[in-house]
Amino acid sequence: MRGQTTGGTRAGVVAVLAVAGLMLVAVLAVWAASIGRDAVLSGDGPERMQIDTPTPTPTPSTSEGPGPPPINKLPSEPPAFFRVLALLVVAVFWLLLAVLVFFFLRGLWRQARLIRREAEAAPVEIDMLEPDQPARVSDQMERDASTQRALLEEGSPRTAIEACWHRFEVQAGEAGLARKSWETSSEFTYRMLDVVGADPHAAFTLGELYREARFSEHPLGEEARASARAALAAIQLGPRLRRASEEQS
Amino acid sequence: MSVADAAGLAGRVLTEVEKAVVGKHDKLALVLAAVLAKGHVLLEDFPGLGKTLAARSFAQALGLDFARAQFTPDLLPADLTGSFIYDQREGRFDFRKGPLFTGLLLADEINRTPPKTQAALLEAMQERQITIEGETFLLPEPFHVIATANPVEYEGTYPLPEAQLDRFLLRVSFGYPGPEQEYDVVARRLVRRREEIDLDQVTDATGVLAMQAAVEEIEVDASIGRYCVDLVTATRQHPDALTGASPRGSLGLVLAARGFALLRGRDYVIPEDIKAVARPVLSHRITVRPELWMTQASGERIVDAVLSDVPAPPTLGGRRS
Repeated sequence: MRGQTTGGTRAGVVAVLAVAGLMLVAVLAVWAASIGRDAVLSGDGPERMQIDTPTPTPTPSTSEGPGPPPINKLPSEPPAFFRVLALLVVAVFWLLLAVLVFFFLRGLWRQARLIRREAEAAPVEIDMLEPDQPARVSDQMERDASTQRALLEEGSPRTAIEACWHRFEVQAGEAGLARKSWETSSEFTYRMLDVVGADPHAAFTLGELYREARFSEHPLGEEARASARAALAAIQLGPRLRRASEEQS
Repeated sequence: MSVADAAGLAGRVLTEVEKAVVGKHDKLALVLAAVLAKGHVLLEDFPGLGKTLAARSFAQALGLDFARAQFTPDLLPADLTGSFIYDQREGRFDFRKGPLFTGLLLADEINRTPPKTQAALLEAMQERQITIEGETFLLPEPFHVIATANPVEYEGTYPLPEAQLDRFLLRVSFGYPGPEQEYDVVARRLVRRREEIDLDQVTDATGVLAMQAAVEEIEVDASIGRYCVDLVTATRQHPDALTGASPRGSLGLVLAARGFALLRGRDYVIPEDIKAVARPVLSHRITVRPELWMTQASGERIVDAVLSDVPAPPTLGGRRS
């Protein structure tokens, strides 16, 4: 807001200066028009020269001719007030020009700065997984599997499913894969389960059950817990299969 | 009508409209979500991308009365609202209704008409009634406006002011189709052997009202409501924004997300619904700082920025049931 106000004040000052300058020029023009051209241009005016043309002589015969014509200087000093006004107009003109150039250059500089800031502020964010991260997450899931299963059996189906889903975040956090604050729980957990190559169908099923448990108001029965149990078992099978294949290879 | 029934009906409407408008499932779903949420939609896109076709197709599939008003510079408010005409035989003034008295109004090229006529339409959109010479006329229920605007023409146009843009629940751009989709449009026309597309009427005005009533039953968790408010507040604090979205933006987010949730067959809103509707709901409500008009800054980018910054709802709800 403060920036906005300052910008508004500056714009106001510029506008006032511009209007004042234009008004001065307009007043001068009106004054000049009202007193007439003769009065404006009266006085001595710029120095005028009068050249006396010689009368032609019929027989210029000798080298001692009439010579160059004499130049007579006429008195030509403009009135003092006119010179002051002229100076003022010129000064105002240059001042306005300088102000305009200043604002133009400042605008260009701001533009360049904004473009630079924009380029700096939006770095391409690439989520780079550490090479051993899938294995670490997978190990942590395996170590924590029984605790997670137990959470699914505690309390009402709604709270049990919520707690079971939340456990994935805990496991990932302990394995060094943190949830970003702007990520929804589902976005993060799907990302995590994708890292360990969990069964996508089971992950989707458990995710849908979690969303229903977390955000709905309708009753959630034991059949939801049973579905969640089956989905969790399929998800937990992933890390075990992964370990088995690693041991074989 | 239950949420599941409403979702099934809405799905059939969408399928029917997709017979005419090819390859725009997500965008059409947004438009339908807005209609289900009792909102109005602004379709802003280049010419020839199916804006008018989409509006007419929705009217056909939803079984709503359809009227089209071509917004020209000489269009007067009375051309939209209607006016009193003197009946010489009866010796009295009768009200002759304008195109506003319809179920779905296509306001074509809304930015081509002067602000006075725009204001008359937008007032009707907000109040769902019009007052002429002291007499108030209620508009039919449901009443929806799908307005179109062409973003590339500036000469002789009157861009809608921010306060009036705010009246539209969503602003949607279809964008150009991919090569395959574009060929599909051509191929379908060749198979059809005529220009017109006949769509089946899936429901009627009563059905639309029932679906809208079902949307009202959709639950919104407090954490989701607060998330919407946080997103909208963040648009006001973003350095590139001169003015962010108003509280109507928070409300619009929640309402549009409920319509979107119904299309997914859910009776509750999830944070991903909010993220899905955030861009079309909020971007047209944000004014970018004038000094940034020559840069890449835009309402869409500000919405993307706040979505990548504002904390999402917590994983655990803390309820015990």
